[in-house]
Amino acid sequence: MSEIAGKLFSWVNDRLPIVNTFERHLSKHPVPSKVNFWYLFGALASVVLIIQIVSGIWLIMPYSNTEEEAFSSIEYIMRDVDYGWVIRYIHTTGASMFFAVVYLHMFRGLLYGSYQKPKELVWIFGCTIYLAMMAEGFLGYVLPYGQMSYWGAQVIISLFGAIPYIGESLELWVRGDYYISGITVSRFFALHVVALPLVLIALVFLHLVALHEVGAGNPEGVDIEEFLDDDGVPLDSVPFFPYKVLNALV
Amino acid sequence: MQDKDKTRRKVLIGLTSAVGLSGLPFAATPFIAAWNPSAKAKAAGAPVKLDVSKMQFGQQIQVSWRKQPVFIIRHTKESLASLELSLSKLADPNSDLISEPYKGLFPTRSKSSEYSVMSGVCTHLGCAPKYFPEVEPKSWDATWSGGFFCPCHGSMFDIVGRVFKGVPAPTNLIVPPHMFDGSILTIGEDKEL
Ligand code: HEM
Ligand code: FES
Repeated sequence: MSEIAGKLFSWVNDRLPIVNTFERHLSKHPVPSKVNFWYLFGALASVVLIIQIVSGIWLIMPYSNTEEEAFSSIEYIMRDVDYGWVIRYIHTTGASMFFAVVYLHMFRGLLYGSYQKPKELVWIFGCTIYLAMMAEGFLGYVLPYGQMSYWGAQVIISLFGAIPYIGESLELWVRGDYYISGITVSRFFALHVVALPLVLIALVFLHLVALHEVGAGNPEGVDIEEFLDDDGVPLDSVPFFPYKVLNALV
Repeated sequence: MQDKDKTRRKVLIGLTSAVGLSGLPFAATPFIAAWNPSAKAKAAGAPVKLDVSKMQFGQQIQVSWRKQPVFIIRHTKESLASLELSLSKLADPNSDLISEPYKGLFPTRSKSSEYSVMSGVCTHLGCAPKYFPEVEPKSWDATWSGGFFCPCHGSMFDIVGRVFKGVPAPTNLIVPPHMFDGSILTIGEDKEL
């Protein structure tokens, strides 16, 4: 049995670089062993992203994106769906935690100058992630279609209106109606649950690939690449997974 | 590969990319256009008509157009005459800061010398300003000569919706397009605009 499974796995692995990719980016990716606690927040942010995706998918199931039902479907989630309130609070608190974690992560970047050569691209992807997150958070905030959602959307959408000449028609185009209606809510829903999560995941992927290409910094200023073991792995390093991920989970 | 072939290949790649790129606007059109207000949304946002001849002098009514309140006021001669009283308090008495559809036509800012028609949405953050036509001292203004007071953050407007100086609201209340056919007022459409 296990032999068959093993064969099947190596058949796939020969055609798809699973082990390689896993090792390169997670289990054997060398991270300086002494990076301090500021270096946890990147991994933490990835964990929060996964939490948001999972709780988000579970929220989609009872949520309704129409003008008539959006608000009442949230009440339904809070009152009548078993543990619905837990899932919703995971998602809403998760959204706030996401920002908290990302701010600390960015603060680390400023403290240690992590935006400098050769990690400029890592920093740029990071800033783009931050922009996408703000958009994602705003779009999600509109979905319950309550007072806070409505007026929040009113203020943010009217920012478009401040653009000279095209502002007003742009506002109309973004809303798809003359006021923030079910039409607006359902398009924000599509963006919130499909389009922007895809963008975010792609950006996080690029952020990590760019980082792993040039290597993480470390505040001790020791260049780990100076002392390599026989396999060319820096001696003063530990694999990203499980050490850094477990660290982050604790 | 010969150099000549290389240049040829480059030209071909360039040409195909150009053709491909020129298709981009066509491919993007349906996706951009699908965000415009749909036929249904347009129908729901159609102009509203009402008969204003039954309104009493000094009365203010509110109708809903595109889910937004629109204020209609039938002014008394006295209230129009008292517009002078608050003139010095106004930030933009001639509505130069906004695109005013019926600028300079009547003191009412509308297409009628008797009725005012304006959006009932505070230009600060969108609350509904309240109508206080009386000329009497108010807690928010000891020399109040009638107008609108927004309960949210205290913006003040005169009786035809012109904003006061030093309040959070940045501009006068907006006058929507409208037209009168006798006493039938149509809000949201003006064939002459
Ligand atoms: C970057 C990650 C995300 C952030 C920052 C975020 C943020 C938010 C916020 C602030 C709300 C409003 C919650 C409320 O006021 O009730 C919300 C609602 C919602 N989100 Fe997300 N979200 C994220 C990812 C996702 C994903 C990936 C999905 C689905 C796959 C999703 C599905 C939903 C749904 C269905 C709602 C409406 C239900 C509700 O309001 O409780 N979200 N989101
Ligand atoms: S919304 Fe009217 S004063 Fe702020």
